[in-house]
Amino acid sequence: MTDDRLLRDDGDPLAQELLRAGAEERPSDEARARTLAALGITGVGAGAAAGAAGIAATPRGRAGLGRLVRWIGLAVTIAVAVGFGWRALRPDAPSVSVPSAESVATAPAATPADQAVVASPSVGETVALSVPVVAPASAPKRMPALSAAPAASQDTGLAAEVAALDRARGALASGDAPRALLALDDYKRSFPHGVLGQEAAVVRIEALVRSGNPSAARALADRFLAANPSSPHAPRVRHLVGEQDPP
Amino acid sequence: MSLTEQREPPDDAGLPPDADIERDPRVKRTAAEEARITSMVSAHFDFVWRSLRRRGLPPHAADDAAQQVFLVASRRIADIRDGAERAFLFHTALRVGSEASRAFVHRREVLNDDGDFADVRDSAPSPEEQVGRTRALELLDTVLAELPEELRTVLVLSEIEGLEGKEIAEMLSIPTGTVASRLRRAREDFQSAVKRLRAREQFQERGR
Repeated sequence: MTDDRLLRDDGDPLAQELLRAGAEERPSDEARARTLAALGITGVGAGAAAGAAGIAATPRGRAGLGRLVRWIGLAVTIAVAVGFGWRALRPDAPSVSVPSAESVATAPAATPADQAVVASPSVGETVALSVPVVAPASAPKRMPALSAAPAASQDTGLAAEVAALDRARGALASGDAPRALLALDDYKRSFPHGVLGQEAAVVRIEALVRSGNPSAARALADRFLAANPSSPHAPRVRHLVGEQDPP
Repeated sequence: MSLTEQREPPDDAGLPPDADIERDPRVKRTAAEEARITSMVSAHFDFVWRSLRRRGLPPHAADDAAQQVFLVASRRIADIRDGAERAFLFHTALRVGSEASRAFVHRREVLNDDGDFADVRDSAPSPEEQVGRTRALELLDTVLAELPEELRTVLVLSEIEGLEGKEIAEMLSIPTGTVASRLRRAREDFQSAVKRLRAREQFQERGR
């Protein structure tokens, strides 16, 4: 560690728990034994190494995991109590998701094209924007417990940002792409450095496509992909501009 | 620092990790070398394995890749300077991990995700704890994946492996000031990524 304090000791509670989980993870004794065998090491030395493995494998603090479980439980409780997320559930709302790319969402070049959009989408009713939000291939499960952050003030800001972007998505879901673009402009004004920048960018690309402005959608998509080539939303963006099949 | 720079072995380690890959690890090894290799496994197996895990490999793939790392070290044992073992292993793990990750991506669709984590054996955690652990590790890798590699590397070495800035600087052959600045940015990015994780989930919840 350098000058600063470790995040896992002095950071966001969730960040702490994640980092501790990583620090506490251990390989199996069998994996170590197989390696020793592959190295042709047997006997006392191997026993000592395997013994060290056993010792190393045991002490891992369950306290950290217990804290995580308790934290998640608390998060769920808070979520229910505050009504976070649930109260605004809309059965018709599609699930959108994108990772971070506010640099794209806020890129000035997107503005003229966006403002030029007028036409209503030729597409109909439901806009299916279902992308596995945060999860990469190795993490397919949803994460409802994360909906409630431990810091109330931060949650308030995040909730407002989520609600703002949700208005855009709702307009898009109802087939009103121009209104979605206006809502996105509102979002951008209210949260110029919001944490949902990538999500906003993807919704905007979708809205541009739906409103009959494929060139603007393409330009924004190109910038998004250039800025976030490994984003989990990249496949979705490419699909929206016709570069690949649905992810 | 570029990825290439990171994946190069330490200067004093000699040849590239795979320079003499054909040599049988058990051939021409002295008792002292064998003792040294055993000591390396004992001291650094967990570190190597976790380094591979944090590059996105599931546990079973990390097992195989860790074995490969130590096989390379065994072949190169005469070239590894005393005191540079961990650095050599780390750089080898970066290279082996990258190759294994590419192979894993191709096979991933046929793997059972739960099975991937089923062999994370520890001190027999309760089912509840195991769920929490698996989930936390998934989330950790999700968040780490958002960081540029040079930031992710220093963050993992510091926050997960507990290395001092000076140790990280030596391992990566970069100035301590660079380590400090990268760590600062890495922590900021990590916290932001955690924040985004929450926000996305809220956004997702509202869309359900």
